[in-house]
This record gives sequence, structure tokens and C-alpha cells, in this order.
Amino acid sequence: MPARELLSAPVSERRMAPQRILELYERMWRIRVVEERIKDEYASRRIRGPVHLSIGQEAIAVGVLSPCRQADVCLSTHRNHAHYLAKGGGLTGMVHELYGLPSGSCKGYGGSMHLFDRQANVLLSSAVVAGSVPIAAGIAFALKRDGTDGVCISFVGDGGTDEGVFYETLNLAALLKLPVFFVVENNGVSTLTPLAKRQAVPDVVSKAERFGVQGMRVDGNDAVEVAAASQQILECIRRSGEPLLLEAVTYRLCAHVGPAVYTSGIGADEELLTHLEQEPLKAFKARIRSDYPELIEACAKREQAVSEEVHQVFEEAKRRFDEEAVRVGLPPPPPPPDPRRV
Amino acid sequence: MIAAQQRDTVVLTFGEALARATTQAMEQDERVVMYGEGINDPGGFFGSTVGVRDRFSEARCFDVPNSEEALMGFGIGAGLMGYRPIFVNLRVEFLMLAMNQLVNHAARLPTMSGYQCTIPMTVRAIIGKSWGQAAQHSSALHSLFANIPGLQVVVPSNVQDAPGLLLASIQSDRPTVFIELKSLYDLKAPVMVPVEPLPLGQAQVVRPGADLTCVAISEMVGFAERVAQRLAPLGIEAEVLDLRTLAPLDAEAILASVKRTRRVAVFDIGWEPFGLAAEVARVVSTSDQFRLAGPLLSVARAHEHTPASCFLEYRHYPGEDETVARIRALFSRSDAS
Repeated sequence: MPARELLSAPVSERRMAPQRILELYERMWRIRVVEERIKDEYASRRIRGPVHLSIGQEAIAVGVLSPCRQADVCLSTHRNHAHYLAKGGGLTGMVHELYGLPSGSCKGYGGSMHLFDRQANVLLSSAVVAGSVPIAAGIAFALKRDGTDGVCISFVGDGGTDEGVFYETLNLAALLKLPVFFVVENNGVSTLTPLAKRQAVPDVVSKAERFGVQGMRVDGNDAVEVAAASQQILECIRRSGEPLLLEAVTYRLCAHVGPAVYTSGIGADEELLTHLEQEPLKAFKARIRSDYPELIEACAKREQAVSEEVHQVFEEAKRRFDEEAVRVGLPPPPPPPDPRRV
Repeated sequence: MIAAQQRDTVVLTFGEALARATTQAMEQDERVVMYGEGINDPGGFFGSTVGVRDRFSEARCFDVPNSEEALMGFGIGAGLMGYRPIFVNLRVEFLMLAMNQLVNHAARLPTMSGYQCTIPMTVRAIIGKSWGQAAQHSSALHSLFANIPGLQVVVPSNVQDAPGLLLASIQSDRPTVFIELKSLYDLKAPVMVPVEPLPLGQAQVVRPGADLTCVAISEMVGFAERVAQRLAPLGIEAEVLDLRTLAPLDAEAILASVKRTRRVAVFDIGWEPFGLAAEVARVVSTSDQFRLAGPLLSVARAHEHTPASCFLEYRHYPGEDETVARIRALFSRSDAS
């Protein structure tokens, strides 16, 4: 059955099983805790490199990737922490990589922007806008030719959809019938330039359809909606072997780069306050309170366990960083930049 | 390694020799796939892809859209998954559209991942020198590629070597740019089959000589050999060293030869600034094993974009007469001093 017909079938699972709700919540919470901790630790100048935080965009990573299999491959961007963790990338390897340690997931060669985990099949995070998109086509080709029903999930921001190679890849994937799941995280802004100032026709779903890639748009801050869409899309791709696209609309609560949180600088203060009220983790918690009150206690337990795990990982990384700094004779870091210029 | 007596000799054109190596690589490893725009046209990239689809199926040898960046990325992705893609480009200039993927991902990903992956990809590109091909169909961009850590750059000079170098490139785990000068496609010579891979990074002395080392690549190896033949009756015995690959560079072979001759001439297919002559000068002048007996001589095309007119084009490339005269002058000058 072609992807188009499969996709038009109704979304099967509207009310998710409590177990899955708990799982989605825990994964989002984990990403949030890790990134809040990065933000807090940044001031100590042990993490010496740019960090692009996903705070406010966790529902997309978790929603898209929770119905995935280990064998599915995920490619990401400079803003990859959430994707990496949601796909099952190792937390210790990631944190050690941010601290520049030889025990990091890329042995210190990648850093925050290039997280890689063979085991979890996070095979590339590129800091060149839309850079990883065509690579997804080649991975999908291999998955299909190997006779598997694996899917390559290609994350790209709305900024990436400015690039010509994004459209070249839509064409290639449609033409060669490659199992690529294009995920456009539309936070409406590329660094600080809004989508409307960059694209004459900003509707990526309709554009993709003209290239032969069917797609749908969802509220990217609603993890349940994203997860249901992702599950449906993944099933379609596995059965048809053809590419599909999901546009997930969200809002970046952080600066483009750096630890500055809740200073997106992209809208009026009231707009930011509204988005802070609607941010995905808060919204998800509210849904649990209203629709799944029986989970509240379990949620609290999971929160505590995850926070403790993350704390231990960071403390260990800091300890190792200080040891390594002494061993190598690393000079002290330069003074922090003026926060107004971050 | 197959013993020489078990191998047959067949006379092939340059294109046929490349097709032979490709076919053999695809027979040996089903993860070798090849693609390029126009790959299955009757002419088949001057014969170098002819017969491959019919032998293996369109799934392993396929035509693609004009999307160089996407196609380079495609090959990288397939390579990440253990495939050995061959991406064929009719003109090397088209790779400029794919430099983002070639430099930012093919060359860098193995390092950026902490050496957890390889990109076993071969990128073939043809330089369409002469016949008014002008600036965008005849440029030599090998120095650009060779400057990037992580890329291998192969520059075959003859029919006998080309299939072995191509097979080695396909079998290598590193991304490799394989540069073919169109003029080489006019050559026909006996080739040993089955093809044996040649080691990458191993230069070959194609003509021995005691007075001057001619370091050459690609079609300039033949040029240097012709110049050497004309120098011999003049009492100058020139050694011609075919580098075969720029990256890895066989610096040892350059040093071993120049240590004996103490004179060096560099025959490049490209421009002089930051080119092969500069690289050979670095290798030779940073060695403390010897001192040169005279200045390095650089034979290269003019530092301008190739003109279209046959009159202008003729002047753009170095000529044999002029090169023989320059080398003679080099020797007579030092004799006088």
C-alpha cells in the first residue's frame, strides 16, 4: 500500500496506555534534567564548548523516537541532546563528551554538537544546517537493501528547510523509495531570524508533498500527539518502504546557543510567558493530573530516581575533569563572556 | 595475491580497465554499489561504466538526479552502514556542489565520532582537459582535496595502474577522490587480470635516472617521460617518479630519489600556487639528508582559468619544448657556476 493511503488511516491510539504515558514523561523529564544541569554547570567553565539546548522541544524528540526500534537509525543536528537521549544514547558517554573526557561518547573528538552512539544507532549529529539530511537517504538505502524494515529518522530544524539539499533529499528519497522519516522541528526561528523572513512559502508539509513525500503537521509540544503520529508514520514507512514527513511545531525557550535559558529573545515578553505556561513538560504533567491521576505518585518516584542518576553522572564527570586537568596541566579557562552577548 | 603466471593479460582502454576493476569489486563484495548522473548511458562515462548494470542489475548501478550534494551525502550514509559506494561525476567541477558533504562529513565524520565509523566511499571525477572545455570543465582541483585531513586523493597516470588503484580505492575504508584526466581515456595498453589492488601511498619509478628527479602525477607522468626521453641524448638522465596518489603522499620515495639526483622538477596537472610543487618543496627542503644542487623546477599550467579558444588554450598548458629548454638551462646554469 502506498504511503499516502496508509497515512490517511485514522490515528489508532488516542488514549495512551498509562505505562506509555509514564515512559514518555520519564524520558522528557530526563532530558530536561540533563539540560538544566548543563545550564547550571556551565558557569564553572568545565564544559568548554558551545551547547545548543533543546529545552522546550523535548516532546518532539521523545514523541518521535519512543516508538522507534534500536535498529532504526537517528540523525540529528547541532541541537541534538534530546534526540540522542530519546534514542537511547548513553548518558555517561554524552556528559563525559561535553566535559571533553577521553571516556566521552566520541572520545573527546565530537563534543556537544556531534554526539554519536553506535549502540543506540545515533550515527551523526551535524552542525552544518541540514547537513545530515542527505546522509539519511543513504542510510535508508542500506537499511532497505539489507532487507530490513528499518527506518532512518532525520531531524532537521525549520532553519534546515531553507537549504537546497533538504529539497534535493526529499526528491531523492521519493524517487528511490527510501524509508526516511523526515522530522521538521519547526520552532519558527533560525538563530533569531523568523521563518516568515526566510521563506516565501513556509508550509513545509505542502512543499514536501509536491516532491512526493506525504506529511502531516502536529503540535510539537504535545508528546502524546507526536508519539501517536510517529507510531503511525513509522508503521507506514515500514510497510511501504517509502519516505514520510512530520512537521512538529514548537517553541525554543532558550537562546540559540549557550546556557541562557528562557531568554529566547525572539518575541515579546508576553509571548515568552505564554510559551513558558504551555511548555511541553508542564503541559504533560497537567495532562497526567487530569487524565491519569493514578500516575502522579509513580511520576514523582521516577523524577527522583532520574534526578539522582543524572546528579551522579555529572559529579563523576566533574571529578574526572578536575583529575584530567591536573594530569594534562590544563591552563585555567578564559573569563566567561559578557552574558548580554551570549 | 594471485601469482603473475595465473593472471591473463588483456589489452584494454583506460575506460575498459576501470570498468573491469569495478566489475571485479562488485563481484567480490555485494556491498559495492555505483551511481552517477548518466551512468547507464550507452557511452557510460567514456566506457568506464559500460556493462556494469547489465552484469549486476539496476539496483547496484543506478542513474540519479543532478543533486550532487544530496548524492554525496547519500554515499556517506550508505558507507556508514557498511556499503562501499562509488559516486561517478562526469566533471570534477560538479564536486564543488558537494564539497559540504565531502569536507564536512565524509572527511570529518570518522574523527568527529571518535573513530567509531569509517566512510568507505569512492568519488570518481573526470577532468575534461582540452577541446575547448573551458574554465568549468577542465580545472584540476586535486590540491583542494588533498589539503583536507581524512580524504585520500588518487591520480592515476596510465592504463596498467588505474584498475589496481581503483580497486584499492573501493576496498579502502577511507573516503577517496579518484581523479581521471580525460586524455588518459585515449590510452590502450595490456592489463593483468584479475586486477590486483595497488597499495595507496606507494609511488613508482617509471623511468630510472641519476641526474634529475621528475615528480609527476596523472597525465603529466607521460609528459615527463617524453621530456626525459628528449633529455637523454643531451646527457641528462632524468628519473620519473609517478606519485599515483597525493594523499597519502609517498614522501619517502621522493626523498629517496632526490637524495640521489639532488635535483627536482615537479610536473603538476594543476596550478602552481599551493600546488604539488609547493608540497614537494616542503618535503625536500625540510629533509636534513641532503641539499639540492639547483633550484626546484615547477612545470604547471598558467595560474588562470582555462580559456575556451584553442589558441589561448594551447598557451595555457606547459609545452614539452619549453620544458626541455627550461631543464637544459637549469643544468647549463649550474655548470657555469
